[in-house]
Formats: sequence, structure tokens, C-alpha cells
Amino acid sequence: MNCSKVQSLISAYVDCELPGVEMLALRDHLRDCPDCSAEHDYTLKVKRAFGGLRPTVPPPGLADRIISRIDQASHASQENGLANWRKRLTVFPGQLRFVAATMGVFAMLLTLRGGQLYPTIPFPQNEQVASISDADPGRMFPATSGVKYGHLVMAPSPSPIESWSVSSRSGGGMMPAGYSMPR
Amino acid sequence: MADYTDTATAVCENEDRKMFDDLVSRYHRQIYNVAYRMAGNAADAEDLTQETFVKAFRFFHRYKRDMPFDNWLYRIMSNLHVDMIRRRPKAHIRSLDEPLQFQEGEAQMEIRDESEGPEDLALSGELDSEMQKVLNTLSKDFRMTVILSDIEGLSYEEVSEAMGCSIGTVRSRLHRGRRLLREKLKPYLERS
Repeated sequence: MNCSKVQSLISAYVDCELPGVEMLALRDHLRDCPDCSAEHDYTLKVKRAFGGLRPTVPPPGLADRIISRIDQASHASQENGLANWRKRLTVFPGQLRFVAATMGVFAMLLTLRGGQLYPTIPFPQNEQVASISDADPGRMFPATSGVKYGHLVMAPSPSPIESWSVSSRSGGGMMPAGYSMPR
Repeated sequence: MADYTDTATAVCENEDRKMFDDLVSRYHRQIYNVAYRMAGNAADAEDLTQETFVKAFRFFHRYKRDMPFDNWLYRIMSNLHVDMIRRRPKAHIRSLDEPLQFQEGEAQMEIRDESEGPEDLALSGELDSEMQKVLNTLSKDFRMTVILSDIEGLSYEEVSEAMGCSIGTVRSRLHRGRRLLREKLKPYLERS
């Protein structure tokens, strides 16, 4: 082992952090080499000088101040958590209102249509429609005979066939009996 | 069920808190000592100690119980000290080897030459402050390595764990750090 190698390992030798074989090789070299031995002595002095420094005494009440800081930090984090939730709730009120209004309108429409999104009403035969419209052309149920929901007027319909009529007000299209377009 | 869970969580939190307060009482002197050697003054050392414990409490759930608690604190402190230096750009560390620039030219900074012997200086606490000044001239990684190894007496493996680097890096930093310290403390070391 040459001097350069030994001097690079002296610090670890002083700390006894080398494998046994290297420890022995360095010890043998230091015994015979005055330069490396002087290097070893300086390194050992530095280690001992810093190891011998007196421990710094903390200011009185430091532990209490640390615990108090932890209390403050944990309260602050709890408040921040609540504030974040409040912030999340206040970010969306406009959107929530819009969603609630849309859902309300949708629910109302569902109620009016008997709880079905797309009611399956059998399409009537042309003859039957024609006969009904011939018998009572442009017949409209009086508003007072049914239940009024806004602009729509519902009337009790006796049978599925009779419940269809041709209305001139709906542009000649088919619509269930009892429904009339608003004036 | 929800009440039971809430109560159990609260009990665990209270137990953790109690345990942590005990750890603060047990380790604050040791952590303050290292913080003082890292920061170089009492005010910064106290700030660093407090910040270290507050951060440790915040991340206590991540603490692996097989690692010594003080080593974990050293690791937190090492990172916090870097942040502290970054937050204070005006307070920069000047190397004693770096020449001072004047209009008339350059001048070399020197450590005051004491006429007293090292034993007397040690008794009066002056050697302590001189060694602290010299320690402050090292880069933060070298300083932390020397503090943990020579002042706190940690093994290379423990230092590497606390600083998050390899044992080879610890060995190299310690070797170079001690060499720098030795050059600057040569006048004192030759007398002893």
C-alpha cells in the first residue's frame, strides 16, 4: 500500500470504518512511514477536537415552545382543512344552482309524463283517427273538464283509441286527446 | 360504527401526540446541539430545531419505526437547513480562503492568532467559538457529515442513512472535510 492510498484512507482508519485486512495494512504502513504517521496524528486531533466540543445548552423552555408550535401548526392545519372544504363549496354555488334547477325541471316533466321518459303509446289506425275526427271535427275539450297544469289541459280519456284526435291547432299533427296547444 | 371509528381515530391521534411530546422532551437538546453547529448561532438554531420538530410531527405517520428517531430528525433538519439558507440570500457564507476585495487590492482573511494554549482557550470557550467559525466555512454537506460523525459520534452507516447518501460519499466528505478543518485549525492543533 503506497502513501497516496494510505492518506486517502486515514480518515476511515481513524474511525475504524475499514475492513480488517485494510486496517492491518494501514497500521503496518503507519508504523514505518513518518509522513503518513503525521497525517494520521493530525486527523486524529481534528476528530478529537470536534468530539470534545461541549454540548450546546438549549435556551430554557425550548421543549415547551416546540410543543406550543406543534399545537399551533396542528390547529392551523385543521382550520385549513375546513377552509378548503368551505372554499370547495363556495366555488360551485352557481353551477349547483343551475344543476338543481335543471333537475327540478326534469323531475317536473317526468311527473307530467307519468314517470316515463319516452311513453310507449300505440300509434292509432288511420281509419279510427279519421272516424273520430269526422265525428267531432276540431273537437277540443273544455279547459274546465280536466285538470290544468300550466298551459297544458288534461282531460280524462275513456279509451286509448278515443284518446287521439286531429287538431288543426297543432298544424294537423296527431296529439293525444285532452291535450291542446295554449292560445 | 362511525362513532366508534371516530373515537378510535381520536384515541390513536391522542396517543401519537402524547408519544411525540415525549420524543420532543427526550431529543430536543441533542437536536438543538446539532442545529447550533449547523446554523452557527443560537437564534437560527432554535428556529431550525422548532421547524424540525414541527415537520417531523406533520409527517410522523411516515416515520419508519426501524430507523432511529434522531437519525430521522437529522435528515429533516438537513433538508430544512438548505431551505433556510435559500430563504436568506443576503446571508451568504464566505470561505476563509476567499480573498477580500478592496479598491486598493485584495486582502486575506485570517483566524485570530491566540497567544494562549488550546487548553486555556477551551476553558474560556474561545476555542469552541473558533472551531465553530471554522466549521461554518465548510459547505453544508461537509459540515453536517463532520457534525454527525465527530460531534454526535454516528457510524458511517448511520450518517449515510441520516443524510440519504452512500457510505462511500460519507467517507469521502469526512476525509475532505477533516482535511479542510485541519488546515484552518493547524495553529491550534500544533500547540496541542
